[in-house]
Amino acid sequence: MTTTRSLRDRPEISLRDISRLGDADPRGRRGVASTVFAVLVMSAWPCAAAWGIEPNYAKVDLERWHCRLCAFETASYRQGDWVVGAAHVADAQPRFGRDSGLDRAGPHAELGARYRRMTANGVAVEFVGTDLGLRSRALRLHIRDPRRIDFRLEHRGLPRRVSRDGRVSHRGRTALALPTGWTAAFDSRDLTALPANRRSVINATQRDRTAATVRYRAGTRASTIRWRAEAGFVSETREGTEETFADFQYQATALPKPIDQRTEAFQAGIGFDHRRLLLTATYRNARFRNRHGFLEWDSPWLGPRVSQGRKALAPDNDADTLSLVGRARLGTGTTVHATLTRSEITQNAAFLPYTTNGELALEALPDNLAGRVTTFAGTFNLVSRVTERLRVSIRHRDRDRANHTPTLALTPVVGDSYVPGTVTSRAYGFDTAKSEARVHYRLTNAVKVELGTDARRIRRNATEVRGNDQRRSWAAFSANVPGGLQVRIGATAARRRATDFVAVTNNNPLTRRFHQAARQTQEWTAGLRYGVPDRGLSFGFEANARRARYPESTLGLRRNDDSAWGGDIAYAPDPRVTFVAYFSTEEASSVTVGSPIVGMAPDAVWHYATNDAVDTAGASLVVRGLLRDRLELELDVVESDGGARYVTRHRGDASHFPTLVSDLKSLDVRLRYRWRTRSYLLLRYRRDDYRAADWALLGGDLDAVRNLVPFGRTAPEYVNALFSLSLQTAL
Amino acid sequence: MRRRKRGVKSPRPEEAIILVVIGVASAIALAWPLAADDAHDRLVEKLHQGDYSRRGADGCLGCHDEAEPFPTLSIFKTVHGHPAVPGSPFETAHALGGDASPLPAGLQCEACHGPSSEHDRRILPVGVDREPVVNFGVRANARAALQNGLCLQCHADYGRVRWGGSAHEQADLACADCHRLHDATDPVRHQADQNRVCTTCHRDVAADALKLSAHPLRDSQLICRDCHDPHGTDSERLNVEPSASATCLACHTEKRGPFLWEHPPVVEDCMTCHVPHGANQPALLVRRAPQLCQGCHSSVGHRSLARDADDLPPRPASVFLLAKACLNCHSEIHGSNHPSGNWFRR
Repeated sequence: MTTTRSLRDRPEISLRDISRLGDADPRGRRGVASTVFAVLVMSAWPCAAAWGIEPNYAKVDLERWHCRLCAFETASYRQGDWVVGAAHVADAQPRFGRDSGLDRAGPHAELGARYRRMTANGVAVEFVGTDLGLRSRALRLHIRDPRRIDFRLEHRGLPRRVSRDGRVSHRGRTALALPTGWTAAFDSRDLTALPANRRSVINATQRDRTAATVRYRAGTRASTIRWRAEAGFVSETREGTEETFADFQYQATALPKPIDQRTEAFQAGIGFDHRRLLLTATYRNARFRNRHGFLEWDSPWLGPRVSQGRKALAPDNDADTLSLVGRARLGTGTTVHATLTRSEITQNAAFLPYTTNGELALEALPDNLAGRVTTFAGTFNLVSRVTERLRVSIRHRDRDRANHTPTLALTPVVGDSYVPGTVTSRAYGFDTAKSEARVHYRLTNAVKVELGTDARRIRRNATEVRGNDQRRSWAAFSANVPGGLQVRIGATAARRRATDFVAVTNNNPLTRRFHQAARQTQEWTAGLRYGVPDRGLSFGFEANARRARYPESTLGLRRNDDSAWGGDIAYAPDPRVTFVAYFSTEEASSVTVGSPIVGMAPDAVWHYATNDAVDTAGASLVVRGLLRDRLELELDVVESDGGARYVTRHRGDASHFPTLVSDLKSLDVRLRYRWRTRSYLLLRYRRDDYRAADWALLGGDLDAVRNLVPFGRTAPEYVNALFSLSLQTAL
Repeated sequence: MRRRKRGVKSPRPEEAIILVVIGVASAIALAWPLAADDAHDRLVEKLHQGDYSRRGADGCLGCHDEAEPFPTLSIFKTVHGHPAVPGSPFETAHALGGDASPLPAGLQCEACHGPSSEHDRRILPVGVDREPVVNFGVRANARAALQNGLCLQCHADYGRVRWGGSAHEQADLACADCHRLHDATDPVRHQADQNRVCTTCHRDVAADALKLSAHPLRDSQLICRDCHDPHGTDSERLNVEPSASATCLACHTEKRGPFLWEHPPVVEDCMTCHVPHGANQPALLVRRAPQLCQGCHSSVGHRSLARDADDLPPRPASVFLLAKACLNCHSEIHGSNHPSGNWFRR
């Protein structure tokens, strides 16, 4: 386990002069502007000396190029195989088959097929079907006439099996009812019917995505002008059950949320391609439809003034997007490309009533939100290889989310019990812009230096910090020595400023929301790789570290750090043998400061330190040509030891929470034995040894929390194995 | 006593770091052997000279066959080696005198490996090395920009519009570092194998996929290409949509809104609370509630502080700390369309 590291807490918490927060540093803007200007001047340098790939074809004479040794005499090619077999899973473990559907013990079908054909006139047909006996089945059909048409049809199943041990007392799908004879109570310990009336809930969803795309190309072979038109349709359904909670005041209940959703997207586009100019225009419409607009449930509690609650589920929405892309090549070493994208999302689902409490007299609601958001995104890129040594790039991005949704003055009902007052909704929007300039300079043939700077600006409406301005600079050095040595080091530093704080909520005014707060970030990267010439052996080492500080945040997130390092070795002494081994260590830690009272009484201040760490080590071996070229072996071994620690500190006393654990040891062996000329036996054995621990999951302690009826889930812990035997037959 | 001159400021920490890196880099570079990259320079020169062979692929395949450590003939099972595919290196329309695609189509091996008029000489004088041609992959003898330039002669079309200036291009990645051109199937273009190719370099993502919560990357139900375009995009992390959040919402359409009650960080950036590949915390969270929430929200009015381990069972436990913590009540944290959902509870 890697979780024995000490947490790096920093005790000093002092009141900062938040009035220092101001507008962006004008000196920084001038710095970026001057850099951008300098780069522009450099990129405008005469390109006569520019380095580009322009092979000289003037002397080409194809008259005697008969290609008699080429293997395309028949110009037709066909290849395929099919796989039939069975897999056996030892135990029913949701996490083992979380993404494949192998969460059920017992036999599973192993089915697959591949077919690929190229005809004499160049038409290619390819079909690939994998995992056809599982919920993670994938099918792909691709038909390509190289002169005109390209057609793709794909289907993919994406299961998500989270748990099978969840248990709830409610019955039903969208109207959840408690069993007759339920005894409501104020305290979970007095919910006497709770233990006896729990039914199992499988917390799992299934996505099924089907997509079809057709492309049509126009233009003759000899023409340098080509047109392309394309159209596509994607349909995705998602069904199942998810875990959710619902509350009345401070009394919460776990509920199974029904999932029955469909997203359909249609896309059409046209493109124009010339040697130096390329333009495309694409339109996309995507519709999300949720069959269930709300979830109702009977309250298990005695406290609320109503016996039933109702919450809104995800509303239907529509999105339209139009994007224009252009690229121009200027000279041999300069390219400009730009993108403009405008999208509009609308949402007009009918409002639910304020409450299920009929005793409250409330004002009438509008029919729906009439929600509308438009997003504009634009980018501009200029890349210029000014000389063989110097390369510059300039980039500007702009993204503007304009929320046109009307703000509504409403009287929300808290816990279906009382109305604290009128609340006005906020339509959040923001505008971000980022300008970047980057220079690569080749000091020698082997050594390259990169310098860059960018300036990022964000402006928000209806939030406490209306704007951030960030200036970032970086430098990197890389060497690629002909002897096989590669070295890379880099450093990045960024400083983000925040505009004046405006208290628009009832949050403690000393708390800065960390995604809006002033921030200082530093990052380092280093890498080393050495390939032993002519030995098939290489070594690599990578390391990076990042630290962020929030110097003007009195409360809230104060610091977070990430670091990672690792190495690998790869050895391929023969084209038939490959061995790779690697290890890595990742660590992320943070310190948050909070206070339960308004202001900053020293005795009330709490510090929370978190530390997540993961060590991963693995090896893979591929050997082909065993047993007189009949047997292939692939072996993967991996071990991942993950953990997370929490420590709280108050008045100098530290309290350590139990460590969160996620440990995986996995062995995966695959053998392919050539049984007959066109038949292969495929053998697979996979064993996972997984152990997790999580103090937040209450397991069987259904009444452990006075005001909470949990799912009763436990952290997964298992040793499970998959064994499969299949026959692969080639056409 | 040393006095600082008026108007002259000491460098900021980040500026000092960058200056140190530049200084170290310059020192290493100056001390580095200034040996010329002979092979690369020679290849550039050969491309400019344009001395293509007299017999085309027949001159190459006499030596480079299946007995080679790097077999070549399977290219004829691909579009690159098909004579009827317009624009392919082995397009025969030139030789047949028909409607032919512009060069380098039809230049056979030399379309990608460059002119080889001298390379295919059968007999070389003693002590004379064979003329180099452009090699790719593990035997690459030219800079990535030169290798890629040869590919982009034909492939600088719609899918590679944003290649220039993209992260992989700037990292000097060559096309052949990911793609295998001589094999009948290119692993990186297939769902079952793509993640394995990408995580050869991006090992941290492979490690993330093994964590407690993760997108289904381990067995390739989700592949890198679903969210990223390795050939360059308009977003910072090579996301297929203009931003990371827009990429998330392409699948998680139920969180697209707009909602009556919006949660600003959800609108602004999903990565405020989530990591994309895998986490030790549930639901790909960067930290768990309530600590994550209290990075922004004061706990005034709640006993939601994770005070200490004494708040855990079998002691009387806190509804604000266990199960989903803050989300036990604020369950619709991605936004609510309920008129009473102003605190994301309905």
